Amino acid sequence: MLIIKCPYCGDREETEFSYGGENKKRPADPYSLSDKEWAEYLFFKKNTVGWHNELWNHSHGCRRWFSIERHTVTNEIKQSTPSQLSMEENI
Amino acid sequence: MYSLIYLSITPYFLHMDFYKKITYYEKKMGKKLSIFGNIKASHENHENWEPLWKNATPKKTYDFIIIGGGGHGLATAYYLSRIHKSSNIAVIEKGWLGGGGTGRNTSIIRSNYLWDESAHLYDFSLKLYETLSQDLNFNTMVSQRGVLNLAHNLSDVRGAKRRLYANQLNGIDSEWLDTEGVKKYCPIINTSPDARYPVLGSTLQRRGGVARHDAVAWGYARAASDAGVDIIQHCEVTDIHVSNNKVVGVETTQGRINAKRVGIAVAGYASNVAKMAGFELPIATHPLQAYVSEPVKPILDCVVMSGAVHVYLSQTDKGELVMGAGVDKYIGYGQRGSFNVIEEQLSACMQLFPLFSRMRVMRTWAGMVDTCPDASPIVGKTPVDGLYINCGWGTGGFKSTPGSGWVFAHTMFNDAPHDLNKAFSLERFYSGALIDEHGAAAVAH
Amino acid sequence: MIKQKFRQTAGGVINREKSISFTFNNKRLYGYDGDTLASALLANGIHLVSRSFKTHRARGIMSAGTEEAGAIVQISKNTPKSQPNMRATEVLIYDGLAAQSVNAWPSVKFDIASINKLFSKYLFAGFYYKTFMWPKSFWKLLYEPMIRQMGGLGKCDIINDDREYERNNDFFDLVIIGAGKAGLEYAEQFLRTHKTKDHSIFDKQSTNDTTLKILLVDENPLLYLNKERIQKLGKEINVLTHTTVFGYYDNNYLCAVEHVNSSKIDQRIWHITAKQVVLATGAIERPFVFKNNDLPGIMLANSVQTYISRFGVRCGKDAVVFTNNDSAYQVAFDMKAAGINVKAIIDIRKTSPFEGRTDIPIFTQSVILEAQGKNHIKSVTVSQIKSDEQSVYRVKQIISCDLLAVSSGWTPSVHLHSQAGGKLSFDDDKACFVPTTTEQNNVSIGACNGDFSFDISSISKKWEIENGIGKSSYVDFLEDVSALDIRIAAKEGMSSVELLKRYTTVGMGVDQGKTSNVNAIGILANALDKPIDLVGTTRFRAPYTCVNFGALAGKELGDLLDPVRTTPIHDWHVDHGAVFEDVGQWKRPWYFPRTHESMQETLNRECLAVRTSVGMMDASTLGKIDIQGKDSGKFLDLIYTNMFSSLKVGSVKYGLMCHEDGMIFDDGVTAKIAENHYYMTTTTGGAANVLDWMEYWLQTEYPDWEVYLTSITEQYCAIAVSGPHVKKVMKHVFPEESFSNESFTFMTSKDILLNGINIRVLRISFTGELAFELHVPSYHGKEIWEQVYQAGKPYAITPYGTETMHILRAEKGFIIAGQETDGSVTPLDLDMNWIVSKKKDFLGKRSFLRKDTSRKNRKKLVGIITKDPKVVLPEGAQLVKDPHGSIPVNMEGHVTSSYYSATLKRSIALALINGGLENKGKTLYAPIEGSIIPVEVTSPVFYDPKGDRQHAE
Repeated sequence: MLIIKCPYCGDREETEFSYGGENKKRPADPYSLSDKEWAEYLFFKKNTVGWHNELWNHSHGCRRWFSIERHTVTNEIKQSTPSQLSMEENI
Repeated sequence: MYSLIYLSITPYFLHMDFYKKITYYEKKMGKKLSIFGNIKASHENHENWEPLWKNATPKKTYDFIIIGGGGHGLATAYYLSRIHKSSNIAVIEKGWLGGGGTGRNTSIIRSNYLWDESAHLYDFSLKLYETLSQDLNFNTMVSQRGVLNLAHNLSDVRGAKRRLYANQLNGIDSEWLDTEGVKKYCPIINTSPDARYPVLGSTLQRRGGVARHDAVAWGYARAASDAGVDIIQHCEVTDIHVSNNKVVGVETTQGRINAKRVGIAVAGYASNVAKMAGFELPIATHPLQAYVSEPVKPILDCVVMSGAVHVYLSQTDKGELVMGAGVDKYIGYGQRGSFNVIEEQLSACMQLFPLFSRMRVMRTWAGMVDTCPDASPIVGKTPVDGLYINCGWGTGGFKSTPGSGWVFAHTMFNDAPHDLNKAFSLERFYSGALIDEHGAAAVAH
Repeated sequence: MIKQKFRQTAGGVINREKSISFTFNNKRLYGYDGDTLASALLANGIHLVSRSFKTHRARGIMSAGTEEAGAIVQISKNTPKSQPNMRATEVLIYDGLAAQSVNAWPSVKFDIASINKLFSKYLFAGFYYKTFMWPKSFWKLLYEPMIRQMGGLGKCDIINDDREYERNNDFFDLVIIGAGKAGLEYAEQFLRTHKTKDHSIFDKQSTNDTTLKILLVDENPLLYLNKERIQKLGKEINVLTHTTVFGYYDNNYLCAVEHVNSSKIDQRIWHITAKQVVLATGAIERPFVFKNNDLPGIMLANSVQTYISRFGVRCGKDAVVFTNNDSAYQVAFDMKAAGINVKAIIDIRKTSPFEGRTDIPIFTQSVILEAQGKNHIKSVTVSQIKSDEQSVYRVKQIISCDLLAVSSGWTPSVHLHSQAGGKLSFDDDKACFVPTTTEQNNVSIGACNGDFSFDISSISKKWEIENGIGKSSYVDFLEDVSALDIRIAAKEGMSSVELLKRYTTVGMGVDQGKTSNVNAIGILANALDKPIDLVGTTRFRAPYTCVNFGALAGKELGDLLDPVRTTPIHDWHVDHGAVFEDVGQWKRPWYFPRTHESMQETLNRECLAVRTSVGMMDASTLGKIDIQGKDSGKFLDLIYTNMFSSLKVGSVKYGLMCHEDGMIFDDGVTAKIAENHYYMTTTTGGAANVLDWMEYWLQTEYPDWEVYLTSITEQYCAIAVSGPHVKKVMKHVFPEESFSNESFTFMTSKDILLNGINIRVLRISFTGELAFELHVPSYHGKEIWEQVYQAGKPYAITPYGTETMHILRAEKGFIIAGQETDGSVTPLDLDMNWIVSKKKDFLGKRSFLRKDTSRKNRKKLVGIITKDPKVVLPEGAQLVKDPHGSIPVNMEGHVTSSYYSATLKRSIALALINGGLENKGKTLYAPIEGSIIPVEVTSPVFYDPKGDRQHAE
């Protein structure tokens, strides 16, 4: 059971959250991409071993999306950020 | 009854003349493993057992290197040598053989998949399983005791019947059982209409069942090693050498090894190894938990799966109930999951099998499953010449082992896919020709 | 009362005032309150409890705790409380307890299958894999059933368990696991030196001034622990006894099981989150591996002591002690003090620090080569070791005894440390694995950290007393794994302990190798000639001790397994005889049969009522989302395939949603209520996903858009009223309103106030008839439903369920998301190009351009009619071109929906087939259960193709 820190509500058990996967930005102009590049956005993943920037939704709580840094081997969680901020960093 | 069988045959075993005759039979059977060999070994105080496979040290160059000494990798090596008469093959394993998904699954085999492409591939695999013990001369304990896939609501029934009719036209044995039929086939299932998820019916694949998972890896390893394949354990690949977009070898913890062709069969770590060759995969690696109960006398004679409540279970020959949970929702490489997943699954199990409340969980564990967006595998070529990928089997890895090895060997040997794995290319994600098997996987991916 | 021969007249913590009567193998026996089944049996002189599963060798009580690997019993057989595979050491006796031996028939003393012993020569490691292959057909008929019959220990009775279990959650600042010497001292010391309000010990940022929450937990009942000290501690901290922490998960999350044993609750599962965990879980003594070391009467030394001190039970009369370390000496002295005749102490070491300090004969540099006996130990063969430390002298001495206490060293209970991700290394001086680094906030203290209360350093490790090939020198008593098996496995290349475990099953029994793993590793290391650290340990996994499925399932059984959702009108449906179907968590009326009506008759009646008069349906389960904010229109344009920003206030539109892969995942209608205010409906099953998904796009990609989403599914009931007479019914319910086509046009909505209730009326139609949907605040849902029902009575208004809804919409060729779609269907595949905007981008649009998605011959929606109008195809049926094609047959597609239409007096179906309507008029075949049904491809709109009826005046 992971204990995840919702940036709005604080530490909560994993069962309150749904997982959103890798934090990825939608391409600004999908039509300028080749099918391969579009597929890379749609399906391809880093699937990182180690520190992983990922999205979670506090679906049984405040319903806010946010991102966390989680180690995919030890499940240690470093920090959680409201999603809009983390997206800006990603740009 | 079985006690009587013991009594009637025991004297033969104890008779020394019988032992002497064994030498004769043994000669007749060649190197084959058999009861005669066992008895002989016993009388020789077990001094002369040979390793099932030889532990090789890496040569400088191979024609074929397979990264990953699990079931898929070993089967690939075996079929490369047996079917394609290749030699100069190595299997490189970073830990011990069969230590990944091969040793951690719930050992179910079946082929009742929805889409033609999957149905053909999984059924080919099941057919190989049916003769695997004899082919490998190693008892993989394939037990075709029947697999039930329960339907709990009208939508389940629709989905199950769609799959059933497609299976039948694909030549895969599949039957529909109504609620009473389910009760008759597996009397301990609670079929009360008042259950929270009542059993409205079930598909049954009689050819489905279970196999001894570790033995599949050992059997392939032994047969491959006998055929001259180098099996190298405790050797981790740290890099893939590519020159002019062509693979030339791998870097390992035991040094550089050159190769003309390299196959990746590392399941959960597929993305990681692909990264070494410079490309990404549409794979997410999730923890998948399973557990066994204490062993009891035979109580459950078939495999029962229920997608809607994420239960799948069977009883081992040793008597334990083996059960699998749904995947943990997050990606993870720690080979551990969250306990609530098991608790939720047991609650669901209690409704189907209230009598199992008295059973006790003896051991839990977790593996890693490499899942694709369409719950179908990727078996084929990669953007790098001479480098091939076999991954994304999700929860279908064990049941597909022989078939996967067969078609991957074909793909590596011919530098072109076999008819059975053509559709499972990496390109399907570019074109959109996905093969969505979420319904058949029975586990939420 | 019958005398308990081996009970001392005094001593122990048992309550001698309270005698307990129980049965073992149907024989009535007596013990005392506080006894375990094991101690009570021993008090009655019974050691032999069960038979091993493979070789059926005699198995006795070998320990006093959870490490027990011999005495397995079945409790309360053939009753609801039946429990297989209980260790006699973990069962507290109570009046009426009935225990039975396992793997023993007809009796544990005379067991037919012990003939297997003769066989055991052939039952070695890997035996199964090398045989039972020929002839092939014998595997299924004979070999496997035989093996299965042998396997297993107890029986899982086919009676439902009537015990109750529950679950509790709690948070603690500090959890101390183990209330033995180390744990108690730690707790007492902590309370002496720390202020119980000083949170900075665990949480530097903490500013709260509440009292620190501390928990002390131990697997033993309070009776077996230091009662006075624990009760004193209990005044300041929380204490849980008879509670086993069985799992240590990420983020310091502990799972424990409390054995409550009250009349109400049998067991309670604890989920505990701790800031800091102190592990004081002790250590487990190891048995010696020598010939016939599994005989009943051979026990762990420390356990013999426990039976004396805790229960006042002597485990034998004439004893021998066999050790390689100091700890067993105190046991020998205690045994002697308790009146047991200790005939000798056999010590492997060259010298013993106790020589000359006791009158018990000490045999140094000696070993027990072999034990003799059939169902109980009779004697042991002792010999001296030569100076090479390997071989023994020929001269042997036989000592008769009925008890052998053994100690070959101690294994720290590192299970929880290891489960938590902590590492281990082999300490050669102490001959055991000890914790090194930890990954979480925990620390190991006392014996589980290798810090023993006696001097272990003089231990002389010896993994096996070699004598012959080792066939009867058992390493794992539960799995019948001998030293020979391990050597065979090593020869066969099982070079890692994980492979060894899988090949021999060592450590895979119900005790998970608590007493066997380290010996197995030692013997394997010797066989491979490798240092122990390189052989390693297998990974420790939860649970530490076995836990009931029922306890883990807790109270989430039956209806509590998953919440049942019902609409506010549900009771009305029940009263009117509805049959329900499960849709997600919802119970929806499926159809409303009248007495003596078959399902098909009901559906015919319901359908015809809607087509000829008027019907009503409870559509309250639809997902409903309120959307507000200045960017709402723009947002709807993004998530729907068609344009919503241009919608006029008061208008309603049907829309499709696709995931980014271009595949349809939900649909519904959305009304524009006011500027920047929309009311969205989704499918019943998709409601939660749609909301999460919309929030995802808003919060992650477009956080600067001003859009507010609120789920109001539960706040509104929806009543669909449909049929040619609907306007008359509506007029009766809303006398003030006009429902003429001019004043209430198709695809518009109005908020109408009725007796102070604001009802949102949508003129939309899912049946193809004139229709309205009334969205009513839930509190008034049933009231308005009744009003409509009353108003409709003159027209014989007919309540209908989901099945009739499905038939009616299929007659019109309307899709159901999730039935005509399966995650691989685009709007274009359904020929719904009219709903796909060319002017704007929307989620999923880019994917339509991909090679396969834009392919011509994709599976597309068509109508299907059977040549014989009476035949109704099964849903899911596959359609083929060639009825006599050989298997595998090429399939053109499948039937997604299929019904008998009373209106059309024939069967109708929808299907997705290659090329879709290009096949119009062609004949296809549905092979079903041996028969072949010819069908024709038609338009999917079977009724009123021009759509006039929904516009009727």
